[in-house]
Amino acid sequence: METTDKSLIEAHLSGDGSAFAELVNRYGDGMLGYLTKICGNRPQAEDFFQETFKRVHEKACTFRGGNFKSWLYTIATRVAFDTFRKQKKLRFISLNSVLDVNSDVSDISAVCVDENCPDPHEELEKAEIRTQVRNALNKLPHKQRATLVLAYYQQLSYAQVADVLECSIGTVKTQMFRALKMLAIHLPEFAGGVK
Amino acid sequence: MNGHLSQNTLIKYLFNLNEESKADIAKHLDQCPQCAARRDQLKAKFATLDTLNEEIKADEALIAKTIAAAKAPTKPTRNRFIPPTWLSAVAAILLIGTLAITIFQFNGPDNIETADLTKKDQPIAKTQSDHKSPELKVPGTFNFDNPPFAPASAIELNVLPKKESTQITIYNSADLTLVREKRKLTLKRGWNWLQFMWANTLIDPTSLSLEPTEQRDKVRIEQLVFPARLKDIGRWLIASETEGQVEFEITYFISGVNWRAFYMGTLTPDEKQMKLEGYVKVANNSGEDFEKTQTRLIVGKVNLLDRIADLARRQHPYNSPLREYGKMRGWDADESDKFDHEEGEKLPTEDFGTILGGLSDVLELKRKEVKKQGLSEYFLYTIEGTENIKNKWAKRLPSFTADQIDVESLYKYDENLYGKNVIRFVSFKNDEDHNLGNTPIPNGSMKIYADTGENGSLSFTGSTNIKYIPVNEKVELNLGNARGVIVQPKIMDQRTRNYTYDKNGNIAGYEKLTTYKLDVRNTRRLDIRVEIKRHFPTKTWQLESYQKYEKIDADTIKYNLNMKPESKMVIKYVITTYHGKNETIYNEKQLKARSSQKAVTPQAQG
Repeated sequence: METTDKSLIEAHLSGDGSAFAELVNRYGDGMLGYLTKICGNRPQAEDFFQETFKRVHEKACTFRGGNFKSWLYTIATRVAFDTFRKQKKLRFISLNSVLDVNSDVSDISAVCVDENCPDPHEELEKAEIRTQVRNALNKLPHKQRATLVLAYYQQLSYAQVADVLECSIGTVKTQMFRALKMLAIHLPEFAGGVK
Repeated sequence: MNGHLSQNTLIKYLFNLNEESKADIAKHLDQCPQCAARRDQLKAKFATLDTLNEEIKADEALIAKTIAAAKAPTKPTRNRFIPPTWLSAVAAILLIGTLAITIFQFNGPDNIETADLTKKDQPIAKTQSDHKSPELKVPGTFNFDNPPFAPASAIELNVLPKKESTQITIYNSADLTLVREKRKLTLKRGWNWLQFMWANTLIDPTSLSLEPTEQRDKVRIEQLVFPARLKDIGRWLIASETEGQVEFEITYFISGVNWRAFYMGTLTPDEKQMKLEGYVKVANNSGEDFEKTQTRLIVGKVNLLDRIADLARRQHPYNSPLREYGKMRGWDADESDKFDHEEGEKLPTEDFGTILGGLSDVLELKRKEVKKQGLSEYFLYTIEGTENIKNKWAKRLPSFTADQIDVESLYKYDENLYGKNVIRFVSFKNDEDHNLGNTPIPNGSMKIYADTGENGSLSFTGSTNIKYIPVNEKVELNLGNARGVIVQPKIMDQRTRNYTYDKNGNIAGYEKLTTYKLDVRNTRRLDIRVEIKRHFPTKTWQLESYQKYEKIDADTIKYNLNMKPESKMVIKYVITTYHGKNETIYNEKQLKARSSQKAVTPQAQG
């Protein structure tokens, strides 16, 4: 039987070192995906990832039950937004911006040289679309982007998103609508099916 | 529902943002193919979002790092403390009390002296002795047994005052320059800290040395420390039993200063004498400015253990001893770094000894430089006066001038060395007879001009690189092709004779006679000397020549010709060479002749 998040937190608070590791393993992939999409930058996402779990480790005592995933994403979102706020004053531009997010998909040249690629032309086209989608996402304000990522990619309900972002469902819907409206302008037209 | 659906409505419908009207919109879409098509188009567009829906894996390294980082102890956060209002009043009382006590304690005669001396200080030279030592306040009882570990603050440091004088000695061959600076430091009685900085220079910190030039019995240099975390800084601890200004000499090695010698020779119209002017170009890329500096050059090769430039760029002058210790103990780099950054870190004195011992060869050279008369393989060359040589600047300084140096113009023809060209040489001797000989002449490039005698105008004769010319040694300067002197060798006749045969009647040897004619022309309006060397293909030869020649070696002869202005000479010679069996016969005859000569000579003596 799988251990619940709550029991893991309790075990961690009682000094069980493996409980925290289990939590990191359990939510690691989803969390890194969320943060990568939020900040559009893999190295920064990894920094946020570490900072998020560091805060979870420190503030585990403040978890009052309920949905751990929402609580975890709330912390991650706060970590990201705090940094974005600071970066408003001093903006860092990654020198590896092209390769940052998912180096395997954003690097078009990498698609071309892959010998095992069944259809290089199709792969190239996909890579191009990914780049355009990523650019469209990066155009969204942070809060709209977070809402969209949580609702669309992380498949949280609007209520859960509201819980994570600590706002009302109405606000979430408004943010979501605005994000989608902007994406409708910037997303590429895609004739074929998308896998 | 009237009309078509807007894009906003379709977006809300697709993403369940408006639950209330969802049924109505669905109904409309069933009936309106146009709106349904726009819905599908929009759906396809949003479907592209799925291209980023790939699973992103947090790798094990990241997870391990995250767990480790989370478990690492955090720095204690600083609590914001808002003092209550009553605390300000208490603080004010305490401050007034402390000030009152301090004024009372510092009201002694010694402290009045401190204040006076501080006034005398130069703006950049702050002096401070250890106020914490109670012994300091009583003259004559200062305890020098316990040196302070480090200055308590930067205010306690003596910063180097302006240089009084500087002397640089450039060891060109090793990219090494010895700098000796004299500076007057204002010392307090007791412990004094002197800070020396070498940032952005190529100073070798391991070579730093400080010595008082006066009051040596009262001033002692205790130690030189290289504080952790502070780059390119050394601090000397000086124990002084005196107060006031004391002159010190700071010596160190620096890299990036080099020199080159240049010479300009001007031949007189008759080309029998030459005026020689020597220059030295000193280039300073050391990062240090040298003002009013006496420049001394070392001629000769110096053997160095380390490259000074490398030593200068080290973060730790002697490498980090604790890092090495850490390595020995198997600490990791971070761990040894922690120790490395301890404030006021002092190097063990035995390390100084070891490294200075390693540099003793170099320091030995410093002592060698005073030996000028052939005892050393180095020679010190001092440029008169002082010069300012700023960083990144180069300066050409006159080194010497010698006039009326007797020179000999010589024209050489040697096919083996110079082909069909006649090469001009100017030779002179570096001795007193030639108005030289005071010093060896360092290697450098020389340009020779000839005074045409017409309104003092000069014509360029040639240039060459000269090697180090010791005193009393002769030098020949190769000035390149001479156009005014022509040597043309011609073969006039060639025949063979005296054939020897083997048992089968085949030719086994012969003699070859070649007649040469050398046309030598001097088109110049000067007396000249021409040296013609001829090389033969074998060591068994006989020469018939009316012109006197000199045998140089087994297969080389030399003609020395003194030619009048615009004259011509013809040299004819017949060379007989022996080949094959004739060579053996000739050699045997020669051997017999020599042995009979030897046998006759004692009898004749007897």
